[in-house]
Amino acid sequence: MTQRPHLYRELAKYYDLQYSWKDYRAEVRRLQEIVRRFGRSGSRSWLDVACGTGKHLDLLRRRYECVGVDASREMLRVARRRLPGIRLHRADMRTFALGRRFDVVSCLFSAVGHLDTERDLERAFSRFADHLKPGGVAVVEPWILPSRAKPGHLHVRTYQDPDLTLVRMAYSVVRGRRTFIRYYHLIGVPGRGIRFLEEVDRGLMVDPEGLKRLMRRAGLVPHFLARGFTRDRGLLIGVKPRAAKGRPRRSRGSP
Amino acid sequence: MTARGPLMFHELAPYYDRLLEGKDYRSEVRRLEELARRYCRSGGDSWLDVACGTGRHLELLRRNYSVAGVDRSLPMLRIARQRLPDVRLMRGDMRSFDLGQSFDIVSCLFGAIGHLSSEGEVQAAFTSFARHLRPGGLAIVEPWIDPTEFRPGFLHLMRHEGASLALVRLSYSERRANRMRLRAHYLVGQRSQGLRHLEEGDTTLMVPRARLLALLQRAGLQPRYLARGLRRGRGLVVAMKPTDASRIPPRAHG
Repeated sequence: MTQRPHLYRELAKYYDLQYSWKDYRAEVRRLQEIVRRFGRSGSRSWLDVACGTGKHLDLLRRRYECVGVDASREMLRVARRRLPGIRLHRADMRTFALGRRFDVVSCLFSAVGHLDTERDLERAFSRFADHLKPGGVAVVEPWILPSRAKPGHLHVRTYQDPDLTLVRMAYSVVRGRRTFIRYYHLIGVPGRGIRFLEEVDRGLMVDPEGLKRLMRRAGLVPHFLARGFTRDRGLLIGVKPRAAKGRPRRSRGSP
Repeated sequence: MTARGPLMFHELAPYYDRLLEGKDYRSEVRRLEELARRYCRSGGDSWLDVACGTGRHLELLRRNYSVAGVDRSLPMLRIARQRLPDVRLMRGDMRSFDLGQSFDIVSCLFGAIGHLSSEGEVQAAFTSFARHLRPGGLAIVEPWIDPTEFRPGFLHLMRHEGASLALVRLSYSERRANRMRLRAHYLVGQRSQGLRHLEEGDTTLMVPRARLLALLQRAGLQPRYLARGLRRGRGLVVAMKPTDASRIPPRAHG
């Protein structure tokens, strides 16, 4: 993984404002449908990996016993304020080990897109698999599909309220299967001034077949749903077999 | 006035009209023509716009007036010339231009006088305006922000988003006595080319209303402040040149 984006560090406290357009409620409704369709009946426990500021967990916790993992201290700080009493761990999605299993593991909003290689993706998927109970389901929102990449694309988002103006201009470059999105941020605070931040966010695009292959290698039975939360991405599902076939059973203890 | 002036009038001149796409030139020109009918007594239809920029006001005014323009910035004039190929557009500094011709109306809009750096310079500009007016002619000056109306510490956002071009200008202004210190950041995104970030500081002069009127008077004009200007919440000054030429004082300062 390259250096973590400003968005998850200096800008963490503005993250929810930047994404105020995002319909978390609709996404959580859809996630629950997916869990009913692919997961264990009576699923109770839910681990959200790359939980960010905890907006999905905030809705999920009404029905599930929730735990979150994120690599960013700044994002977790926001999530902790939102979710008192919910266990939130700071960890890398390629290596985390919580020592317990869940009915559902989710990893949303293309957080896996920040991983730099297929090897890293496979490591993350294996972590998801190891944290699932037999019959449990992983729901992963992948990065933009290669067929949907829009090289040369420009995008501006602005947010304004009396206390804050945020501007983000993005420009996408595609080289092979990698996206390089250059972000220019302006953060304006009345009485204080304007800050400029610049970053390039690398992403690895993997097509649905490749994603399914990586899921399979992690020991999960994959499905790809073309209709995801965002038009250009889809959703990747991985179901943990009830009886592990062809793989040595892991010890019962820690995953 | 700084050596080159703001980025918007130079490197970013090609984007000026798009950043200002929200500006309602049509209603502004309606109001300008209304004021001309009401206050101009020289009887003709010649109109000079000083600091004409990309020529958006002139483009509309020329339907009813015989128009000319002056601007200090070559990149802005280049755009105005494309827009108005048959209009006389000259490069000139509003403090010192001399076209050797007088007009029925001389306008200077959109707070352009705020780019001058002292009251002495404002005086020089007003004297130029007066010199280019026929007896009974009218100067219309849309002043820069009045110091009593300026709210420091605020942010102003302008944006344009097209299929192949995205523009953002975010500015922040503070006050230093009667000057506004502005910091502006520009983001320019071009499809298939990438992003640019430009940043500038600019200082503009806020002249109190009473001083503006006094300076116009000293230039030999009879000024009047109108609370209803061209844009909501912004006033305007009209200043008539007396028809009795004997009342015109000699050229101020030269």
